[in-house]
Amino acid sequence: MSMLTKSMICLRVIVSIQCFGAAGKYLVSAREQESSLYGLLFFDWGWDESTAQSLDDTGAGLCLVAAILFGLTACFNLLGNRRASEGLPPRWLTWLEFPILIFVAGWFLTLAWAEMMRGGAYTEWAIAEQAVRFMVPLALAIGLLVREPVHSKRFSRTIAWMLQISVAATFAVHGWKAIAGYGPFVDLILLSDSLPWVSNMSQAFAERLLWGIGWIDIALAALIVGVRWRWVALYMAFWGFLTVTSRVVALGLVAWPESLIRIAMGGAPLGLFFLFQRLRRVKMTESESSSEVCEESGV
Amino acid sequence: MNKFRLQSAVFVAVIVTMLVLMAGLTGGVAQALSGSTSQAEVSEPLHLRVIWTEDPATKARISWSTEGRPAQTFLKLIGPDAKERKLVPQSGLFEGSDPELYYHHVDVRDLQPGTPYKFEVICDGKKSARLYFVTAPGRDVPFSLLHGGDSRTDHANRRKVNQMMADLVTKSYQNEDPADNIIALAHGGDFVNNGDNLGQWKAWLSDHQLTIGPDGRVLPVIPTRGNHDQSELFNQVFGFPPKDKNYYAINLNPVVRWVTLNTEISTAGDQAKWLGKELKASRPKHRWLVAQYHRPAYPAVKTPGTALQSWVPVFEKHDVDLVCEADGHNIKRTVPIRGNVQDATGVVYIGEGGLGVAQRTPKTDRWYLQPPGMASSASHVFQLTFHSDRLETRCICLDGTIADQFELQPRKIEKVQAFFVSGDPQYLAENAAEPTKLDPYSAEANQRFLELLKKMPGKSIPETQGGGSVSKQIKGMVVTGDLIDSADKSGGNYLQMQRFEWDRYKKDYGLTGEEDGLPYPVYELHGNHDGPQGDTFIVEDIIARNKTRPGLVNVSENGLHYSWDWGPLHLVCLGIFVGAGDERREEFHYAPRQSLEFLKEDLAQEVGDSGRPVILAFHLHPHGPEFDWPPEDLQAFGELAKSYNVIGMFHGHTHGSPPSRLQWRDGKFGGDLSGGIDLFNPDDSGAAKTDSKQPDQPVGIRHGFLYVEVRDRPGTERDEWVVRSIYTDDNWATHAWGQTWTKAIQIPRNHHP
Repeated sequence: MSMLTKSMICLRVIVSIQCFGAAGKYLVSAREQESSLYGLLFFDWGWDESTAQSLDDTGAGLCLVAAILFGLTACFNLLGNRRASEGLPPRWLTWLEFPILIFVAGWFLTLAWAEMMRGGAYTEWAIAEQAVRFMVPLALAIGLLVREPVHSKRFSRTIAWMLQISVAATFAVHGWKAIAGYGPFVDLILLSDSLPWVSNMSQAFAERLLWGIGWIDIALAALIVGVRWRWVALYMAFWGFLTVTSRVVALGLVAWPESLIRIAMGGAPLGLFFLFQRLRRVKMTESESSSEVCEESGV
Repeated sequence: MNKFRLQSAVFVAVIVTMLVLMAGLTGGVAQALSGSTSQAEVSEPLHLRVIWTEDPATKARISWSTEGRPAQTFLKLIGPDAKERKLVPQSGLFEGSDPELYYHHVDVRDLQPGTPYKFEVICDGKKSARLYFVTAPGRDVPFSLLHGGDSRTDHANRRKVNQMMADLVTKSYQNEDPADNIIALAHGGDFVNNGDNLGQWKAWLSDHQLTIGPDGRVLPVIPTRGNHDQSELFNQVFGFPPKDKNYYAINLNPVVRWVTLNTEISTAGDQAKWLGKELKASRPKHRWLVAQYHRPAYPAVKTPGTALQSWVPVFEKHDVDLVCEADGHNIKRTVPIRGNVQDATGVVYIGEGGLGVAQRTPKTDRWYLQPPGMASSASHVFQLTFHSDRLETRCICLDGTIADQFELQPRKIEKVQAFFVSGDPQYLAENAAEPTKLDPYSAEANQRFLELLKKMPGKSIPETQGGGSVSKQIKGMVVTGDLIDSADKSGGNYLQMQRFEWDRYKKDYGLTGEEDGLPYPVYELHGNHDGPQGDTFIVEDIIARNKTRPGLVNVSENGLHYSWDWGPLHLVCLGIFVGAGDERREEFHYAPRQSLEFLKEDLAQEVGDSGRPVILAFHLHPHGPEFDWPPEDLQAFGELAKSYNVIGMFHGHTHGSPPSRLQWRDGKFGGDLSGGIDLFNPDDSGAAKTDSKQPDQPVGIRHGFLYVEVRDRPGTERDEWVVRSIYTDDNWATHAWGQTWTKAIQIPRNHHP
């Protein structure tokens, strides 16, 4: 299985989980609530509540459809379909997946934008903070356009850049909020007191810890854009998944939608890791080829 | 080429110079304009408001705004003495002001509780209207408070709700019922939609003026920060210090504690610790404990905030009575919740904001909104009415309808002083020169009785007697005399019998609770069978025991009478009866041993005018024969008792079965004399013996004793004492609960003289 394929499977799984989280948060879980879009339409723009609610439910419902679809296609890839193993899903599936991915990307972008419009602490950065949520489906949509292996390098680079920028944006905003001692982040640490190293931790210590974490996040954001080290991507994936897990650790299993909807924070850097691997191999192959050419030509 | 470069350089220099000049001119003009604005166009005082964030009985923050910086502005405060106080504010420029808007805050201190204060604001000669506010009550009196949240987007309804609140306040003072008098508005946060938009704050502040009554009464605000109130403007509007954490607690009267929390910062860290300390300290002192904050723990629409993890366990641990939430934009009342399930002892949560915001449709399928909980949606405000025996909550909608109403009973947060009272164990030895045992029926009665006493702590009390269980922290045992049987006799074997009986009493009962006897201290007095003239070795031994009896605070000069405290209670043991002089007077039976003199001195010294409750114990019944208790002594005793908060008396002597209560008022004794002092006969606990006429038969096998609880509840109006009798008809082979007497009493908060 090629690294591009691994990357595409990774992104499919991430989109599926993220969409399932969104459906849980806004439609099906015991604690389902309305999205920021509902809030914007109903409270700030004065739309009729039922219209806002219908729109909200439709978006969440389509997310549920997307979750199922991309879950299935990821399985389809993993089961070893020959074309899929080359990163090339059946054409008919592409036609189905592509518009849904565009919708998913648009939906999450809209939610982030609505959150920004509604105001609140740090919401002016909501689009940057949630960039991975809409850039991952967008990157996957771009990936679906790869029909010929000859194009895959160019697409890989494009997808990598999309993921790099979105991961950097998300980590940078998280880092900034952590440095500022953002209350909910402090609580995520302090409420994880089931973990032995957290129990009896003071707020001051948690805030100092967050300060350090924040600067590391910002440094990682810079590195992922600047140097493209695959190990940086892998560490960011690890850290992203850890922060995703912190929701259920701190708030209980009932907070599962909050974790799932954030899955791209770990998933996007993991996809990047596979892409960096691929680009590295391509580069190695190219340099080997060029040296062979040089030798043959006697340069 | 050089010419071209020179021309270019000149051109750039000219442009730069022009730009610099333009910028300077623009700035100068702007500055000049700005200066002229602040000098010439200072507005009249705007946005007058009163804010409660510290002890509202004696302090208040009075704030106002001005457009432009006034050269001079001050507050004129007129108190009940009609004297004017001129107070200069702390002023500053609101963040993001354009045009300039200044805030002015005066923290007024040393106010009198429950008192109206008139005030007006002067800005460069311009006067505001003369308004007034009333400080929070300093006494335990009923009152009402408004609570609501979310006034941020629906401006039309916000103005209507503000007008409605002003009407509610005005009407509440137009009747004689003090309970509905509204003293303040607790705002649950989200005052405005965009917390860093000063224009929105200005609109809110202007609309808030609608809460001022037609008579100029200002409704004080107790503010909470909401998620839309994110910026320093919140602190500037309400006079909090910069970067303040915005959580605090205030007394709305001495027994109502109002705790305001901030969901917009860390809930789990320092704030949760502060909350724990605050509730631990305030729960025992307050009848009502209410918390308010913005983001709900049990939302009717959204997902729970971290308050669910951070604060709900603390609320439950310290038995908070009511929690007021906001943010969800609907009306809700939860079922009482403890441990995340419905529990009658749990905490009720209400909310969630309707002071001027579009209302969401609540998710009524959530378990905690099922009856008796509820959820609906409408613009609304809650009116909380704090009575001494209940907390009434009404959710009043903008159209005047009542969306929900319910009552909470005060929690039984109380300190209980629990003890036993018995009398006349009357230990009787066999009639022998060297007694080795008690009379078999006396032995049986006293042995069984003491075994029962040891098993009583924690024992269930039947529902018919009020339910619950006997306290496991028994303070002690009061024994009202006739400890033994034989010390009123002389000659024959009596001296040996007396010694045997007394030794047995001391061994069985113990003294401090540390010996092998009863597991708590014993407070006995002498009866006629222990020495009618108070001169036997038993009386001497009681005097000796008084030297090590636990907790005594006062002992008579002769060492016989004594007093001690159990919490707020003051108890006095007075020997055989309460009378003046040391010895028996002509025509009377018993020697009082100066018990009346001691009582006078003791009450004056240990009780004074504190109003603390007093309990007295002696042996004879005051309604007995005159030759037992001289009438002049009884009258003097009655007069003395009337001068203090004597809640009850216990006597012995009569063996009247079962235990009973009389009341004593104005020299009369009766079963139900309203306002009289309770007088209890605990019956005898062990005065059984072999019938001298039928040696195989016992006499006096009916006995009894009393279990007493004095309940000191937060506040002063719900304190009570409960006396229950336990009796037997078969020499304590079996026993049963008899009667329960309950009476309201008053225990002052500061009960020491």
